[in-house]
This record gives sequence, C-alpha cells and structure tokens, in this order.
Amino acid sequence: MTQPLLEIDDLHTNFDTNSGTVNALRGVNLTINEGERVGLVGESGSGKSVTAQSILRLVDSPGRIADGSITLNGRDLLSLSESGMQNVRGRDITMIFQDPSTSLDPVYSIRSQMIETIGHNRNMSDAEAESVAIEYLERVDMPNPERILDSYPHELSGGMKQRVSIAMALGFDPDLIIADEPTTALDVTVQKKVMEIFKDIVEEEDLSVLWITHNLGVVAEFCDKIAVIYAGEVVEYGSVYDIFDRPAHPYTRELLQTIPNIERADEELRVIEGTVPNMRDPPSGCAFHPRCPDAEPRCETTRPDRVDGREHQASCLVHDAEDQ
Amino acid sequence: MSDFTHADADSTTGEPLLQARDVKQHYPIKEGILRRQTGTVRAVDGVDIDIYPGDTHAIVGESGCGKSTLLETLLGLEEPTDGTISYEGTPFSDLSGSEKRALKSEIQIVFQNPESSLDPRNTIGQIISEPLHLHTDASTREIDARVVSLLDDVGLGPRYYGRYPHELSGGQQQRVAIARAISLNPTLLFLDEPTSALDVSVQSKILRLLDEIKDEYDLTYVMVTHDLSVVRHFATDVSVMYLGNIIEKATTDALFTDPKHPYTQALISAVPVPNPHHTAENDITLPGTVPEPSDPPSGCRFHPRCPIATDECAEDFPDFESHEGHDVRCIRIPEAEDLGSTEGSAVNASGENSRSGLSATRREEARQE
Repeated sequence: MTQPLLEIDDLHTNFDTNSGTVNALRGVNLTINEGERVGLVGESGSGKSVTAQSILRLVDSPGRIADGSITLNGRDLLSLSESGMQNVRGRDITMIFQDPSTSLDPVYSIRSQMIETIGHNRNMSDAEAESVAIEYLERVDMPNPERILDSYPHELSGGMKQRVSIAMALGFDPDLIIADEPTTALDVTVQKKVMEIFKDIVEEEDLSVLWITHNLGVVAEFCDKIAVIYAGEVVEYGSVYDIFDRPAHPYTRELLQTIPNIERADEELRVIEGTVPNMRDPPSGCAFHPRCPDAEPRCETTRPDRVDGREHQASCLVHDAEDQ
Repeated sequence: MSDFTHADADSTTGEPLLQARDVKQHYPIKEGILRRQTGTVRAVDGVDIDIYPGDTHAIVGESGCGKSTLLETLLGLEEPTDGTISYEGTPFSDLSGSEKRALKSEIQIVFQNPESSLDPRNTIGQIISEPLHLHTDASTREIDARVVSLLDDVGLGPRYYGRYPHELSGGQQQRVAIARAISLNPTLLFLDEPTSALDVSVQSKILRLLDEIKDEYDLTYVMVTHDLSVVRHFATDVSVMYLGNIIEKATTDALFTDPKHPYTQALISAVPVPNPHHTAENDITLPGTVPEPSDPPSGCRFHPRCPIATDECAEDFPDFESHEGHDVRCIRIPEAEDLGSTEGSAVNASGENSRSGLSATRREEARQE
C-alpha cells in the first residue's frame, strides 16, 4: 500500500513564448502510492493539467519539461526514449478526459476501438480483447455490452460515452489512471452514477488514480489525498481530512470558503481578493502573498519550502501544517 | 432580500411580475423528402410559473429538461406553441408593437459565456452604450456619462471604457455583460448559467456583484442553471424541471432542507458535497436515463425511473398539489417523505439571507480579476 508508484520531484515545465518564458510548473513535488487516489485541485491556469501532460510527456508545444524527475515504479520516465514512453502511455498510465469524445474516434465502432486499443496495450488476440472489453463494459454498468460494442460514439449519451472511456481505460490494466475532470461535463445525477461505478472498481482493484479537478465536492467524495496547486506549485498536500478539517495554507482555507456548499447555505460566501498571477512574471517570495490575508513582509522576499508531497505540509512561512 | 414565498401564493398580495400559464414549446420533427411531420419534440410541455417582484427565481434541471427553451420562451425570444405569458398582468400577445419594444428595455438577459455574448470588434464603452443608443433619446454625452457610471457600478471603473473584450478576463467580461444588461434600468433580469463558465474564486465575486446590483437596481431575477450549490446560496425560490415540466416549486430553504418530489430528492442527493465526513444517508441513484422529449412516458413523466412509482403513476400526470408550502406534482408524497426525509442541516429560520451581509470592495475585486 505504501509503496510509491509515481514520484514527481521538483518538476519544472516551461512554455517559451515570443513574449517570454511562462513557468507553468515551478517545482512540483507529488507522490502517489499504490492504491491511492490523489486529487490535484486548482483553478484555471494553476498548472494542474500541465502536470498531467508532463507525467505523460505530452506537453503541448512550445512547452517543455525543463527540470526535475518523474519516476513510475522506480523507472525514470524523463529518460525514456519516445517509443519507450509510448509503451508507458496506455499500458502503465491511462488517461480519462473531461470530454469522452477526445478518447473515442467518431468513425469507428466501439468494438473496433476497444479491441484494437486493449489488444495492442495488453498484447492480446482480438477474441481475448473482446472478452476484456465486455467484462469492463459490464463492470461500468452498461446494459447489453454486445449492443454497445456495435454502436458508434454518436449513438451514445454523454454519460454512456464516459462510461465506455472508463471501461476502455480500465481494460488496459494500467498501474495509474489520470482522470482529468472526467465528470465535469456530465449532469449531476449522471456524474453521481459514473463516480460510484468508477469508485467501486478502483476500490475492488486497488487502482491508483490521479484525479484532476477544480471541484472540491468531487475530491471530498472520491480521493484519499489532496494536493492543492497554485501558480505552478503544490502549496498544500495532505489527506482529504487534513485538507478539509485542518487546512494550513491560506489559499486552501480561502478556496474552501469561496465555494458554494449545498449543505451550508447560511455561511457567507467569501471571495479571494486579487487574481491568479501572471506566470510570465510570478510574484517574488511566496506566489500567493499579494492575495494572502496573513502575509508578512518576509513573504514578499522569501520563498517558502515546498511540500514534499508525502505527508500533510503547507508551503507557507506563516502557517505550519503541524500546528493546525 | 425578498423572502417572498410564492409557494403559498394565495396569501400573497402582490401581483406576479411575470406569469406563465400552461406554456408549451413544441418543435416538429420532419423527415423524408416531403418533410412530413413524423413527431413532436415536447421541449416545454405545459409550464405554470409565477415570478414575483424581488424574487430570485431559479429554474433548475439537467440537460434536455427544457429549462433553456423555457427561458427563451419567457424572454419572448420564441412564441410559445401554446399557453400565455403575461408581464404585469398583460399577456405578451395583447401587446402592441410599441409596447413590445418598450418591454425589451424592461427585460434583459446575461448569458453564460460572456466571450461569445460581447462583440469582439467593439470597445467596452460601445458594447455598454449600444442599448442606450437604440432604446433612448439621450445625447451621446449623456450616454457616455451613464456608461461611466455603469462601469463603476459593476466595479470596473472608467479606464475600461476603451478596451476590447479580449483584453478582459472571464470575470471582467461577465461584469461588462451585466453592465449592458442593466443599462436600461430593467425590472426583470434573466440569468442563463451566469457563473458556470467561471473559476470558483471568480464565481463568488460575480454572485456577490449580482446580489448588490439586485438591491441597488431593485431587480427581479430569473436564473436558469444546473448548479444546485449556487442556487442554494443565491436564489429565493426554485422550480425544478424534468422532461419539459416543472415538477416541484418551493422556496429555496424549503426545497433544499425538505425536498418532496422523488426527482428533486435524487437531484439534491447527487450534488457532491465538499465535506469528507458527509455520509450520504438518503442517497438515491436513479436508474436509466432521461427519456426523449419526443416520446415522453405516459402519466408522471418521471415514473419509469422513480424508486416509489406505482401502476397508478403510469396513468395520469398529476397536477400541482400543495404540501407544506411546496407545490409538487406527485401522488406518492407520503412515501416520498420516507424516502427523502429531512436532512439535519440547519434551516435559516429567520429567512435572512447570508449574502445580504456581503459588503462591497467591488471595484478592487474587478480590477484584480
């Protein structure tokens, strides 16, 4: 259980643009142990999707991984050849996207897509791959898997497509699933069903998941650990209880109070003053200091130690996670 | 804030500002080379709604429930196939051409996606002043002064006057859309998923702005959204739609603390709660999917997915009945009560609204967005 599966160490990913270099990730540390479900939570532009792209070495041009290391089961992913990396994608790490149409080709039947990809990733014959496909379609609660296999993506509803892409991802038998907002585009009652199905399978098979989202409700229901990302850094890491019950970083605290909670309508919605920094020119010291209600003069000049992504820690000069 | 409870509308003295009676919006399905009508999409299928002055009335439901079509119909963008929509007691259909034009400045809308609702080739000043040029006789100088004051009201300030939409963040663009919508001093403002395209930290700022604007401009809001957490914080009254029909109406507090209709209960229980200690006690996962609005089920539209439906539910679609201040279309309310039961969450007994205490440092916020 406590064996580290994925270790990200001091990851820097930059985008070289005409108007300067954007430091999208500025030293991300994160560990995912076997069987752990880690939520990576942040707002637009915080670097959460770039982190996922970096793990898969699929950072869009002109982005590049500038520094740091990513190891999966002790294997250094950044030193692999492109063909070696292609074997990692799909076989070892699978991705589920927000829009299931991203992973489903509209011109092929579900059958040919599932059989080809599962067969390729697991070196299976078509017949073996088909039985795996049927098994996982059943497990994601799709009625009549045979009929689903014969259909084309456009014949399925959004929720069904997402279940097919989850079945496909699970059929690859990966070590790690990266789920990028996989339920955001779904209606709430469908989201609930997809989450329940996914969670059941993940628990049964003891899978490791990195769940990328802006929705704190979803991480509270799904994840064991949470990494809060701000301005390209993990500013707080801890168990789901650490983060919700004992948040240490002021950004985490403010974020929790700014979301409307269906259960606590009589609490005032707070707003976080200021805005997410421009990553071409991030603030000195702690990147959150211009917006921080607790900022002290030293926060402007001194960069706090980064969290190691292993236990409850906050990257903050003022607040210590242990004191919470 | 209004704590108007139109759920017991009989006891209220005010006239509804906007009223819909048995409003239907049907679209023909045409097929073949002769384009013969082979079916009908019943997008909105007999909706009654009363919007009272001062309400923030949320219309909620999932994709395809007809909430957006209802909004377009209430807004007068589309003629209803059947039924009447009245504004201050006068049916739309009885209005003369000039009265209809006058109504256009009374009713305005803010869309979900500010980027697509603002013309990228116009400056912010031009965008906000456009309705003033079209609907008023004011001089250019007067209009400019008004635009500057509107920019101030939405927290942007005059320096945004000459900028273009692409230079603004999503939250700032939404502020421009709000400024344009209130430029003619409307009475009724429709909000179509006003914060769905925004980040959470920006969302709370826009909700706060809308709240303040509502007080300052004495507005009534009709909001269409799928985000129940926002509704919980923002609305005074809620109508829940399923497959072209409203199936439950109540005040926000009543609806969320004690939902009556089985669908409302399922919808509320499906919202992920940002609290790891939350245990889903009355958890309902719905079987099946929403049926096609071209082929709705007989009787109660929800009965094929309802956990407590009986044979009787497949026969007639019940009318609204009043249950403890809720208007509900369900014959199985006593059983539904057992299913959903009350949650332990604290009811805001005073009816006071949490957000009324929010004070403004609006301009500072907008500048920073």
